[in-house]
Amino acid sequence: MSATPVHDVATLEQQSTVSRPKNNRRLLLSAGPAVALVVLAVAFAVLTPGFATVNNARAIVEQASIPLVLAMGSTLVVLLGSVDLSVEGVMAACGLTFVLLASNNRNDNDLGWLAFVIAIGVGAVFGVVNGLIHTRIRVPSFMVTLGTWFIGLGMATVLFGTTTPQLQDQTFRAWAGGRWLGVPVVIVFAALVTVGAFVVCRYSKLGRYTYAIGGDEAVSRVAGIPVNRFKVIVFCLAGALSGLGGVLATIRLGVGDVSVGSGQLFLTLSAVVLGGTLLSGGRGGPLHTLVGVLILVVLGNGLLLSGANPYVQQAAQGLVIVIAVIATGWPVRDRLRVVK
Amino acid sequence: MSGLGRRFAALAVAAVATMSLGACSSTNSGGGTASGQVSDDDMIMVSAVRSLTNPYEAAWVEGSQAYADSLGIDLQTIVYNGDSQSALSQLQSVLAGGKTVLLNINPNTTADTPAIVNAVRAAGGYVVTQWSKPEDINPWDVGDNWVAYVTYNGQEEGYDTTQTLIDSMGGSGGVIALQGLLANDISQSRFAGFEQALGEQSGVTLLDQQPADFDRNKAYTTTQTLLNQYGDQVTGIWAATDSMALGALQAVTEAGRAGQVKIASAADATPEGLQAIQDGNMVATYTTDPYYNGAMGLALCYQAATGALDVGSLPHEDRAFYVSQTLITADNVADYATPPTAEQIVDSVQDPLGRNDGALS
Repeated sequence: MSATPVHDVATLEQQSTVSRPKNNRRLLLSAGPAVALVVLAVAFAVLTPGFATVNNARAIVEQASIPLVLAMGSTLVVLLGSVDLSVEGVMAACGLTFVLLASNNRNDNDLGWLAFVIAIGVGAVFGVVNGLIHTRIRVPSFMVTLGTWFIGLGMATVLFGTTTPQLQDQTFRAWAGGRWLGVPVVIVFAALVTVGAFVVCRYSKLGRYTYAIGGDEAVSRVAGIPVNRFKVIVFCLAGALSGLGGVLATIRLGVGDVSVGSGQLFLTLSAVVLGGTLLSGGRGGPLHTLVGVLILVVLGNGLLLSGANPYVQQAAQGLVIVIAVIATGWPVRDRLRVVK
Repeated sequence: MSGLGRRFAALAVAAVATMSLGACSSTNSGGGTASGQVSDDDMIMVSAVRSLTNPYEAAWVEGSQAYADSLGIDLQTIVYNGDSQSALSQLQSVLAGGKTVLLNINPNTTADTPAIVNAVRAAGGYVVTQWSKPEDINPWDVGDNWVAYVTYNGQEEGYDTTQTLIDSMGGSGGVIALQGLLANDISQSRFAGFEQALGEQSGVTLLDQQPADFDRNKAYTTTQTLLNQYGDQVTGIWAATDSMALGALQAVTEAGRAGQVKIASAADATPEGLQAIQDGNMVATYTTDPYYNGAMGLALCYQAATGALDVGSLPHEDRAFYVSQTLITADNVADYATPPTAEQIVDSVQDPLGRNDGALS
């Protein structure tokens, strides 16, 4: 414990006198983003015909699916107090690995499901490398993952060669737009991953330790938590989920594409932050991120349907994100220990 | 159709030209460098492109390689990944190598051109730039080292492909347009062509137009959303490039409307785009012949360096011009289905000014 006794007294006092507003703050932090989502959805429903339809709702959920898979991995990493910037590179590397191992028009491979598993494994390996370099060599996570982002892109570029590899495995091709038990395949994956992340955070040792490490790494170490090991595990999970996202996106495109992940990092990280998971770690979680992703997808979809001038749309999107982040972070702004 | 005719004529002429040039180059490399001209041994060819994961530029580099191989000159490929600084610094490393550089470059942005041509001029090399340059600077202002600037008429691409789209829609219905990056010149000129063709008739109406940033994923989600909004009103989609058209095709297929919604792309003629035309899923694309683009710039530089082409005496319309290009539809797609052989590429550029389609307008 680095806190001095004086400080402790102060916080105790604060707690006893202002416990009620503090609870409200807690509530605001959790409910704020959800309220923002509802307000946004209602506003678009009123203002734009074509927004509040069953088909559009399905399109929104479908469009949110791949970002959700990616954002769940990011959420775990951010909860640790770290960040994973390698999402786009890992997506590209895994997507191309997958296409070239499954039946395709470039070589004679036809590994089927094994290709799917190996590609996600490649993502996991990227994650483990991120985690090991970060914890053992003690390099800040944003620096390591920035590097692996480009390693992933480079690897994908080499795999790409000179012609676009096309996916020919009919089982996987059928996933694009296909359904399992009436639900689009990508949504099934997104739902499984979201539920999985929720269960891990809420009920597992891994989840509890993740919150603890993000809350205060030094204390966690003193308490005997094998911080480094759990960090590597979390980065590994995040890498595997980036890989899964890359494979799903590749299946949707039907071709291997180095830029398959372009723009996803921004979407993912802003969704995590928008949802109310603190970048300093320890607070937030998968359900927050679910709301964050939906806010961004609804925003993009609604602005497009509103017929707003395309020149203005992008700026409007950025503006709404900044406002939403300020609004959701407002109640806890004095509690953010570090802003960096 | 006339484009096709020209293509065959050019091939025939080129075939004859190759034989004579074959003899020519052997004397050149064996003998001297008359009146201060550069010999093959002192040259290095450089092809600079944005990325190799874009089918257009991958084909461009193949074209460059075929041409360099035909002369036995080393080719250095610079891939600058959309980074202007990287393009310039890599180029300076090659220039510092001491050989006479013959550069064929697709600059990252319009603003990069002056720095590039000045660097090449200072080192005594030769350069052809393609696709974009500032309007107020021309090759003849800089000198003989900037041999030529060539580009492709985006408005023509947009116009012709839109006409094909309108015809395929039977002259009526609603269309969605997907532009590239809004700030991009070529995307704007293609869209101007689209609007021009649409304005000349009244049966087909524009339902919506959105930027999809040349991105296949963005085109997919945008189309998915717009199909929900407009439903059966959408009977046609126009996209500024193949990759966006293919993203739109994916969304249309998932909506169960492949074939009903006609899709036209204004550019690129990628293998996948051509396949989609053959399958009846797309109605048009446009080709600038990327293999030709990659070889032709080097051929112009080579002829300037050897003295075969007297750059100083060329009229302005041979220093800054449009290169002819071809509309691809179901009628002629078979001609483009297989990539050209190295021999065909080299043949096509024996007269590197052969596809001059007129001065810039």
